[in-house]
Amino acid sequence: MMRFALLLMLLPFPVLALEPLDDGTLAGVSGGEGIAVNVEFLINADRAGATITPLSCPDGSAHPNGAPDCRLALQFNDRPGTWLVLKNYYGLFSLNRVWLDSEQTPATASGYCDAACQARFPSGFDANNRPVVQLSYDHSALAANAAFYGDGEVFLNVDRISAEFGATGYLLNDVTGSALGLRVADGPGGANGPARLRFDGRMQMYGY
Amino acid sequence: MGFRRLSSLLRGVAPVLLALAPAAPAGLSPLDEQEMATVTGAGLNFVWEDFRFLAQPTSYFEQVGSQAAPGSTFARGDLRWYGVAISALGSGYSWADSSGTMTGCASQGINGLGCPRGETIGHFAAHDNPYTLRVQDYAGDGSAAASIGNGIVTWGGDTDPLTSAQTVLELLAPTSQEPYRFAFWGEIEVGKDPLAGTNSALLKSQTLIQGSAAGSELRLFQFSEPGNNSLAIQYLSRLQGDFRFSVNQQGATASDTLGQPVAFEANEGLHFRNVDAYIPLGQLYYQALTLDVPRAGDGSYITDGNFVLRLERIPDELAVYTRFYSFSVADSFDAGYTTARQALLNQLPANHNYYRTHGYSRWGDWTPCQGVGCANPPTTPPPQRNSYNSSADGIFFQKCASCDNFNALAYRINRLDVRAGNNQYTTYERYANYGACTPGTSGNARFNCGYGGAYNASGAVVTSATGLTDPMSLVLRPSGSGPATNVTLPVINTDAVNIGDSRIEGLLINHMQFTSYGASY
Repeated sequence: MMRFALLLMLLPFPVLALEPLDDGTLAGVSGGEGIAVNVEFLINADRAGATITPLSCPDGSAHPNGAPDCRLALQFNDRPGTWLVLKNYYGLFSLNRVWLDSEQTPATASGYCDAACQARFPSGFDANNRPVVQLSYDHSALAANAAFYGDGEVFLNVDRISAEFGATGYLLNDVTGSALGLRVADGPGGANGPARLRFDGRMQMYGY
Repeated sequence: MGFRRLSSLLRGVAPVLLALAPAAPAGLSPLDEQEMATVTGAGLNFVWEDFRFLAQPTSYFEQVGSQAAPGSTFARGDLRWYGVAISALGSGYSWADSSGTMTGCASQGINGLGCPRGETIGHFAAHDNPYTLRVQDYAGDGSAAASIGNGIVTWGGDTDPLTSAQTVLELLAPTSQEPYRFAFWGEIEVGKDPLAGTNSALLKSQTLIQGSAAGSELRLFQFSEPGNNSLAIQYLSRLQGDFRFSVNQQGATASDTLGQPVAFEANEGLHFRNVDAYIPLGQLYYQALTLDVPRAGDGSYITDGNFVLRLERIPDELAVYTRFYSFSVADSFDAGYTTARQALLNQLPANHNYYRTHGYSRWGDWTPCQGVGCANPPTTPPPQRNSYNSSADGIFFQKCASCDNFNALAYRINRLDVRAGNNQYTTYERYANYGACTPGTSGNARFNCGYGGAYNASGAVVTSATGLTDPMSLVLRPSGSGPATNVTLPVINTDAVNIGDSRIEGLLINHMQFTSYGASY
């Protein structure tokens, strides 16, 4: 099961009540201050505060071949009948108040573009003064040495990764061992919930 | 989803994303016709400025262990990478946050390798040298192939610009970046019993890398071997900079508690300075990393649950051999293939095919060609060879600032006899006995001090240490006798031991395979 929640907030924030806008006011709305986005992406999981718990996935009785956990199975081309199965797979990804805005690249060269870099662009392409989509966080209220890690969260649990075989190998549990297990979390055994992250600066995106 | 369909998707995505961006920075407004006309959908570029990434020091990526093979001497191992940080060089912070504040890092260590976390990176990816995600059609030896340096060859040996075409999804790192610092503190938990909540040992360590991975390239495509048209991955790894691995904890924060961040001493550890490495894993399109399961000799699956990451062996095709091994000088059959020695002596141009297919790993700034046949080998100090306690270059072990000096001893094997019955090694000398060496000025006497040139360790504190086990006796001893113990040996008393530079040239990987093991138990 997968759930996806997206919350868009128009800035600035001091909106106390919902009131109709007249035409003149609407005409002045340009979205010029950008928007802030909260993203929370839960995979096979529930969240209560810092605690991430796996959903009750269908147990073996629900499937003729028995699937005892939530899993992700991959099969690659020209590897018939083989599955790379991530067993008891659940997690969370969130971004907190990402500012989505538009900007423009600097008007002058950075000094980091060498001949190999130039060759990547089409002939005559100028990377200066390009319109870009920008993602950033507002850290203006943070002290330089603040131990702040609230920009994003990641939690991932994969108990076991192993190969399974056959047309429905993605449902099987013939292999009880584990080639590899993965976890992204905070605190011993994930006791403090998701790993917490900080992003400084800005990421800008443009095409050519 | 096929790559061609993905290509179409990306071409569609680029204009949509750009449509959000205005010509002026004031707000969101549509692109005008002229601006849209310059967008071809060829690629998406990602700029990172004033950038820093910090994971909370208690947050980690974990490789979860599993039961070791019964009866083996191995124990379960669980590995964690805590507080992964990408930040700027210079002063910064330790891992030991306190009351919502990052703790300053008191000492900068050797060449700034003391502090794990710094401030923001001005140009992690400059606007005119960004990370690029794009879809390309590479084919044959035509002009489009020039952008990857050497054209392409399919697994079957096809270099035709029309029939050899394939679509590639590629992520390219900037070709030039501001140097940055990548750091984490790690935990190796040995013998974990997850049910009892116990372990048999815990080691905390810190890893710092200062430099960049500029020029690295990642490509995904479909492998061109018939019957093996699976997901193919090419990774051309480039790393340049300094590296430090350390374990000494600062007293005030020292802890053996699981998951408890500590501050590490700023100087101690194993250092690698002036590293420059290029490791090519795969070539378009005749070699690539693929995923598979272990196979028996007849090609059937071994169904123990393990999997394989394989760098496919190069095919038996002349066109592939010509490209992979790289013909020297002229493409004629009697010219032979380029060796590392030829490449160095002939000073091949940087864009030569040799440098696409052959990797290298240089630890320390050992200047090329100091041996027999070189034009100007060094004959007088200051030599190219690092001094015995240099912390400026190469590979060295460094003590912590408040620790006592330690004793060091090294044997140099100066003659090697591999004839049967000759005990392999016939002569050796203790490095600590040799204060200086100055080679002759002409002929082969120029190389009397070895390929590293002249050296001078006369300033070293050469003393004697008692109660040692002679390490050479562990290697060379008559059958049936034990090692020489409780002996007195000359040693250098020092704060650092530099074991020199190391250099691997002409690295060709014909075939390589990693097979997991843990699913068997």
